[in-house]
Amino acid sequence: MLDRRLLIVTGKGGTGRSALAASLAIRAAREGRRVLAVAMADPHGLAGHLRTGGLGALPVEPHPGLSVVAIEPAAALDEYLRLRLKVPRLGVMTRAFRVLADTVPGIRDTVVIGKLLWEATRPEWDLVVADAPPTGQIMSFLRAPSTIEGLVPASRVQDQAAWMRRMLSDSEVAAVVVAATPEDLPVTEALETIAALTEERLVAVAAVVANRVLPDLLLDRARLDREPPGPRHDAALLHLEVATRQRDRLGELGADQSFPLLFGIRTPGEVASRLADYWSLS
Amino acid sequence: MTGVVLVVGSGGVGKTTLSAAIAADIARNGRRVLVLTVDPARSLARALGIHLGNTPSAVPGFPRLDAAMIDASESWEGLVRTHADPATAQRLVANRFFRAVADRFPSGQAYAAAEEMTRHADSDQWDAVVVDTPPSGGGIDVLASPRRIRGLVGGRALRWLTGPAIPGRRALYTVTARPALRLADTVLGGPLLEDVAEFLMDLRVTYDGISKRSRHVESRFKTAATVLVTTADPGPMRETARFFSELPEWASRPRAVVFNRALPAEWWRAGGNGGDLLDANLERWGAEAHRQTEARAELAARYGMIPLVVPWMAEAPTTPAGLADLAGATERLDLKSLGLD
Repeated sequence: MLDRRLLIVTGKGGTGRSALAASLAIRAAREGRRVLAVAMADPHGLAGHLRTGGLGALPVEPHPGLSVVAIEPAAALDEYLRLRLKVPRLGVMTRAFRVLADTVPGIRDTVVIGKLLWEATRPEWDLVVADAPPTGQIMSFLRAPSTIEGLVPASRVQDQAAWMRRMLSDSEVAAVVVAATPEDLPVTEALETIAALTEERLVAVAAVVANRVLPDLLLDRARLDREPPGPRHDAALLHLEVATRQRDRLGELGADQSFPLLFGIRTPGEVASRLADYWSLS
Repeated sequence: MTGVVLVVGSGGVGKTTLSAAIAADIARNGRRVLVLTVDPARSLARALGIHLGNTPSAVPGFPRLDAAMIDASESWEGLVRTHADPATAQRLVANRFFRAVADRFPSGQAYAAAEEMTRHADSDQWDAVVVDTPPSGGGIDVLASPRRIRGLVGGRALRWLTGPAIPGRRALYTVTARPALRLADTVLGGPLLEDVAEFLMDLRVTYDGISKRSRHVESRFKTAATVLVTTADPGPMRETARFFSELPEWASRPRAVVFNRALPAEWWRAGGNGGDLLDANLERWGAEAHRQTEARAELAARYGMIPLVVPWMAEAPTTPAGLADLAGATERLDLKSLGLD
């Protein structure tokens, strides 16, 4: 899993995407990799889980070997124009591209994906872990390079988009980690995302992970029925009922790895460092 | 007048279920109500008998309750056909950028929700319209969308492309004669900017109509009752804080904060000393209950509102009656408490 250069973590909103991305970055750093964790959209989740404080376009290094950065679309666009398209007159072009980016959403998405891929090719990092947008939006990001490639004629922009598409679809370079909690809608979205990724051959799927999974209680209903009413009974009943529902959803999801519900853990930082232990990296 | 209930909150906290529950409870109390949902789970869609599309349909076997699922493309097409002449509207709808704006422009989907809410509220067919907001931006996107839409159709981008005076259609074709845009076209490999300008030009025809309309939408927000949904998790708690700080610009203070997936506070340290399986289990759940109690106390102290509590259920209700029970069991989620009676 850690042999690739870029791992993109996605999942429906509320499934613990940022926590899982942060925990994967922490674990890879513990294994001696030089890691860059990237917040592709809202940086607050990653900032909280990696205890970085405010997060911006300049990387910070909260732990040795682990750097964290947020993609700011405006800064990423400037960098794209200056370094990738080698545009000389930046001021005027930036404005022209902002107009384009507001009207043709694929442009902004392409710049964000491009930023990830360029970071992944830099020798400073062994691994880039992306805290990606939710499953509802991830496909349009991953499709953006080929969309742009088809939309514009032969040009530097098209060449760049083609390079991005090739990098993304190379399973030795990049892969997606799809997360779900064992509930109706998150599992459906995860399965739809996996199907679309596979069918369109956009990016390989590195792992399907289930989050907030309840442990087996090893208690049968007959024993529970003998328990007098009260919190002991009620907590066990809730556990059994939720766990039963979860098992059905887990069966549909077919996850490669699962992460437990962490009872009573308060801070995002604690959650991420605890989850880091559970990654199976083989 | 039709009352509007806006249900807002972070993704995955149970907004869609709560919206349906509030609506079902209102219907059972004798009022006609429409619930507008964004992306219901299969079981909820089944419970509501929802068909994809903006046209409301009656929920089978449950009088006075109607449901519709917002379709952003359909909503935008309706808007454009209302506010542009037929020829321009046809050109816009056929344009390759049109779907991108409707589906992918950050405010496109959000504004579709706002537009459908207003259209149905204005029709006076219902006593209340309950709106489940799209997951991105936790609801603020919907509230901010009318202003952003005015920016898009108001031609700010277009003015930059064409210079201070908006030209007629013919003059468009000289747009890329400007040196900066020629340079852009060299990089892009062709007249993409010209295409964009043409699209924005057509969109601008709708400006007066959409501008007036979007201000009307904003006035609907001002009188809507907002219900904020959260859980004890850090993401939703952060979104809640953001909502309280940004809301005053768009709408009135939340009428209710609903704390979903709640556990009984008394589970904290309720276990015996036996140390058997059930005690160990209660200790884990009790720790979670305690974390929730702290989160709720924090909400109450910071915003001066006691959160309404919806218990943690193994499964969301799968019938309209079950949904109504869920809201009915929660005090202060009825029209009167929401200030809409």
